[in-house]
Amino acid sequence: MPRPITACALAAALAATAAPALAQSQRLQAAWDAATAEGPVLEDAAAARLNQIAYHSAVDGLCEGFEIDVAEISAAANAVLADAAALDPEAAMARQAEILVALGTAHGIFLAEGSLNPAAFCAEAAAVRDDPAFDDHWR
Amino acid sequence: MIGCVLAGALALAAPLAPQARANDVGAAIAAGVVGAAIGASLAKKSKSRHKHADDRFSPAAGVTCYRRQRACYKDGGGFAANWTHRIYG
Repeated sequence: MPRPITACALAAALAATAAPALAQSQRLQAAWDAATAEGPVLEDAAAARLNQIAYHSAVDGLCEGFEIDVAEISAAANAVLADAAALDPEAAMARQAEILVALGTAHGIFLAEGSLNPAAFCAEAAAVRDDPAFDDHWR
Repeated sequence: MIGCVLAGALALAAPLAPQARANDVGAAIAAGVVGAAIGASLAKKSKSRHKHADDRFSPAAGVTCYRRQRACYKDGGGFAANWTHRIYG
């Protein structure tokens, strides 16, 4: 006599036949919401460059075979920090601190995103490095 | 590694802002300028949890960009450095 199908067996069968779920986004929505809640620290292009710096450094920290090009990254960081150059010394210092806090925040969130999904994070970084249309900042 | 980046950025920032030499940095720290700026940057974060329905848009299939972050991500994936550069420069 066949054994009765248990609830567990049914669940397992359903799970096995269900359509595969869409991959979960790596983006930490709540963290970015909190980090950007007060509005922009920089204009669009500079903020995007800050994200690139933070991302490249996070990949360097988490993925084997990636090492940032310090000269390129430093030049990119200086281009963002140049925003403060026209200010008086005290205001420039405050502005640079604000930008560096934003950089550190982005770096931390990218590290968290990569740490939660290391294989996918590093595989996508490799695809970015292989994209001939994108000039990355790894050596 | 970010420490290296920050150190390089700060070191190279001097020519861009010649007034911010070591003595000025020391003076600014002594005067509390840097600490105050960092404190303000960290403390001003809003506790509001407003949803920004128009924060995202899709420039192409499989890619979503986020206006406030100024970044693009692959759908079901991670940060898309190439798309971020393409959209925001």
